[in-house]
Amino acid sequence: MESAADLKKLERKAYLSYLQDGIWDTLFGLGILSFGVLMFLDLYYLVGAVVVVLWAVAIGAKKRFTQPRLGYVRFSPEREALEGRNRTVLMVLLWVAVLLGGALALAWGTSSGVHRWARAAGLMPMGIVLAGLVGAVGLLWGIRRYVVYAVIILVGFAGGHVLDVHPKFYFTAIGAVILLTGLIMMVQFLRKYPKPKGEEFAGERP
Amino acid sequence: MSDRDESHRGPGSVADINRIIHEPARLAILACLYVVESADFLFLERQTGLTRGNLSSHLSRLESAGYVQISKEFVDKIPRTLLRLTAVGRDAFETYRRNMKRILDELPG
Repeated sequence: MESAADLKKLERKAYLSYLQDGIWDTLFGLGILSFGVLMFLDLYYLVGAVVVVLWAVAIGAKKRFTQPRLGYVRFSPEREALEGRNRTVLMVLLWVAVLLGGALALAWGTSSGVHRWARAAGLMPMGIVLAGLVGAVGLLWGIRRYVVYAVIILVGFAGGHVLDVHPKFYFTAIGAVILLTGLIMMVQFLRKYPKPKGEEFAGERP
Repeated sequence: MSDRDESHRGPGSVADINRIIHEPARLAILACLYVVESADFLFLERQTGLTRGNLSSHLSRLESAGYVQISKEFVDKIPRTLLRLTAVGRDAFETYRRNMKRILDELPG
């Protein structure tokens, strides 16, 4: 028999099944890896283009990759409201991060203290902000592996800073780990949910 | 009806269990549709683990009981057959849960 708690678990399981395709992990890992590779190639200015392309791929991929294998579902209004709240919180955090970055950039030219602090901190503030945002995604959406990614990012940046390693190395390493995780998840997803043969059940009435 | 019969047919008795819902496959389908707004056939197939034929026949039974509504809608310009619980189906599922809980609570031990 289904208790209320079991029904909540069932709803959560159905919701999380949509996040087990590894698409976001793969593209996020690819983004960080691209950043590292572009540093190797001295092509920093292409980072923006890479982010835009990956974002566009991510949006289309759910419809083309996940839905035909997992089916279409419209979740409850409560879930939609929670989803909206999570997105708002994430956007606020993102804006706080952007404003902090802007404030640091403004203070850069005016204060020698900030200059000294920024030199000493290196890319650690960036690592903390990135890990914070990724960790927030993990906590808000209840996806544990994103909290693990946040720890990996933090450890990578801290290790790189302490050992005085060039960022291109730890960006590439962090990106490769997340990308690999995403690809493994994607393969598992493809095995578990092969595309149904024939058109009659692809969203059609049997 | 004898006293003995009354004791077996009071509120929460086994006889009150909705047999349409009590079948495990149909219970899984209803539970899945209860927690979402609507879903297509493939989604239900994935979530319940039922075969297509099995799922199809159980859905027909639920539809004829008035518990599930099957409608065709365009979602992102793609025609989809969506399945959702009707108000009657939702009520029946909630009643079933209450009855089952009562019966299980009343069991000795």
